[in-house]
Amino acid sequence: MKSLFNIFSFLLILSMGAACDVIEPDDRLKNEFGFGELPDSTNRVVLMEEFTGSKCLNCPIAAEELRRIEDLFPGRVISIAIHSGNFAVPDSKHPQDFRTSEGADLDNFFDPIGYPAGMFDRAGYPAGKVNNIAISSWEDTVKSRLEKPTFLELVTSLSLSLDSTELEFELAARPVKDTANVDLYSIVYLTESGIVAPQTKPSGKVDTAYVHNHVLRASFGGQAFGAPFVGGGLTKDQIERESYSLTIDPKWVLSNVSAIVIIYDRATYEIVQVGHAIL
Amino acid sequence: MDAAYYLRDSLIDPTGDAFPKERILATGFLNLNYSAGDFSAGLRYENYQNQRIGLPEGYIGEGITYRYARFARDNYDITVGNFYDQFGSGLTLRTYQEPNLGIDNNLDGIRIAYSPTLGVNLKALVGRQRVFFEKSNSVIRGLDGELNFGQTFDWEGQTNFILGGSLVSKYEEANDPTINLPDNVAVGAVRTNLITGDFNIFGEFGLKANDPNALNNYIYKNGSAIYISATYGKNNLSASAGYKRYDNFDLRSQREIPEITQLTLNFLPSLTTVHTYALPALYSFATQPNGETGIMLELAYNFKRKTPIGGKYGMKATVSFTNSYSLDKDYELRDVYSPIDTTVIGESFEGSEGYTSSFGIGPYQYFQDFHVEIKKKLNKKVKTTFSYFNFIYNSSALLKGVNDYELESNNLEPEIVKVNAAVLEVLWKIKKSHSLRGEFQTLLTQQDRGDWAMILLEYSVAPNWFFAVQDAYNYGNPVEELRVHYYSFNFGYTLGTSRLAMGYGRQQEGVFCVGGICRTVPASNGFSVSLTSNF
Repeated sequence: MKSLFNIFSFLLILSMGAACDVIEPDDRLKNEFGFGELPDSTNRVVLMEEFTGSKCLNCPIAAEELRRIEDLFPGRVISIAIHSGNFAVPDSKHPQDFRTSEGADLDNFFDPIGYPAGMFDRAGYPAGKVNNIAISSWEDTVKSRLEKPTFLELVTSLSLSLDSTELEFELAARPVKDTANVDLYSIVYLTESGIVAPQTKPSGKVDTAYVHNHVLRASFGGQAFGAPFVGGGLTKDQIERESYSLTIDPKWVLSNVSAIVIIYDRATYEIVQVGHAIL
Repeated sequence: MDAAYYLRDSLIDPTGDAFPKERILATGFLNLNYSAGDFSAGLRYENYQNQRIGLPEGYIGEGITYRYARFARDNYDITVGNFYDQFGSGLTLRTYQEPNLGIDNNLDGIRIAYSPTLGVNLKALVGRQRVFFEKSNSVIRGLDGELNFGQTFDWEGQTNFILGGSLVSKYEEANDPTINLPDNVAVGAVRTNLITGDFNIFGEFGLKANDPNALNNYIYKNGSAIYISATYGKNNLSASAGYKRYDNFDLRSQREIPEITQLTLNFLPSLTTVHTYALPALYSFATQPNGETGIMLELAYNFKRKTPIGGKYGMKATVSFTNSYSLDKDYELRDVYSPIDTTVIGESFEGSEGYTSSFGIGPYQYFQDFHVEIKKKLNKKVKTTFSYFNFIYNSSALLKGVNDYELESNNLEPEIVKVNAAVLEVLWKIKKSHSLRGEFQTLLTQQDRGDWAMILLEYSVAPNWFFAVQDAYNYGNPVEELRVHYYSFNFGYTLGTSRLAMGYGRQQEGVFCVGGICRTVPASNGFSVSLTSNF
């Protein structure tokens, strides 16, 4: 009889202890924005920025190398061609003007020592002076960046406003781990590809049928370095959201534009994560 | 064993959807029980080859669906294997078999009942629930305790007080990509029962922790249930009153169920009268598991013999009123974002609180039943029962399963069927062992399938034979082609403990309910054979 009573007590404790799991309201959704299972860390997307110009002889070589690297790591690298500096000043043979105020600000800050100059995730240039002009080293630089996991996942979208006068960009960022003392900024750039315009080739000749890709056109908000996104610390799985908009310039071919969002550490300017969206 | 041979009837089943390919369908069962002293054991074999029309589609195949071994001595009782049980009124647990609805939600596991002292009853159980020929993918754990003050403290007189409580929890592993589901869901209830000489008041109150599941659209709102029943009986008067309020309190052993009647773990008393006459039963109430509130009032008086109203043989009159309403809800849905971006593209119950509810009644009436029954014996050979019924039947909710939110968000009104029906039943004892029973029914409504009339004549030669003929005529159907006679002819023969019944008939499409649990039954036409034997 005593053993029966013990069985009863055991079942009572078992039932009470395992009775129910109360899911608090903030914990109910695990995938509100289409994120997958929460990982310990996440792969980064690398931003390759090329300071370039239509009159720069070797810039087509750099552009081709960036295209090759993109093909090498599909979906993991994103390019922006920043037309700035003297090589981007229009002339009679290069009438197009791809310069932007954002490009000029970036050029002034990072101050490339020569053209073409590659900048990868803006890593290592807190005080500017981009000197990565050895194109042959770019692939290794990208590889080393790709091997570094990051702590932020991004989900993005790009859409037209109801009156089709603006581009609207939506961002959801999910930290995959708690991160203290970070001051993150975000900026969304607009690039356009498939622009046919003259370009001086390494031979010195001007190729009038040259196709320019990833040309920096503007930024959402009109600032080169964006605005504060999250300050202080990040809490794992606590999704941060932001919306951005940009008035459409009629000369842009919208089917060829891409919106690129960059989340970077304001203290070092090093990029934490990159995302992009197309219409 | 039951078997049916079906005939194609394009009038009542124009598409042929309900007409089975098999033509002949048969189901059967065998119960074997053995007992020796304190020990008993048994099994049940069932076969569905294939399931007859009207039974859930999952009943195909054959096998032993119930087997147990039980040992009961003195103050303890242990069962291993399959078992049925009920805690209180069933708010937290009720496992039972209702073959006509295709329900058998027995548990397969261990059940222990223990009574440490007179009037104290404890039960504990653990098991998995039956679903057709399989088991649920969850584990059920349950505890129940009851203290009978009258017995324990040896109260004198007719007053007694019983206090009870139960706790049931289920474990079902969750792995949903979108929402965090609770693996463990618990439901608990306390109950009291006060009994005096004339009064009997029973009340049970239950709470359920977050239980997002397919039937409640995966909302996280806690559930609650109140069930109160009071009866009074003295001399020739009896009265009863009841109140119910069920709020998201349906409990299944799985979040996803294969069929609406399957894997029920608890039972929500419908607090309505179960009508047995065929035409009134067309508009039977089905308990609304996700939420409803209602009352029941019933008064019965037995007019004595040799009184002005009672006449020579007396008369019993019963008046009953029941209603059921939706709950007063404020919906709290969550935004839904595009799967590839953060754009809000809609709202969803899934993952949300769902709603909050107040204690009042909501905007929709589900059901109302007012009926009067008068039973009177006219002479030594003739007994009559006259019944009048008035129903308000929300067919959107009760028949089509439209939920309140669909109506409210689209500014729609539910389809309401208003029914008046009357039945005269006459039992005539012609001579010794010979009797004729007749039912004369009419049902009038402007909605749904319109007016009906029905006659049933049943001739019995006790204790062996019965013959029955019936015709239900849907003469008021708004579709002229569907003004159909649903006729049937049946006879049966009983010999000892065996009974054979055979029949032919046309069965109308409808809702078949037992105790507030309902199934939709399609139309059919054919012959049937039923053989039952105890040995």
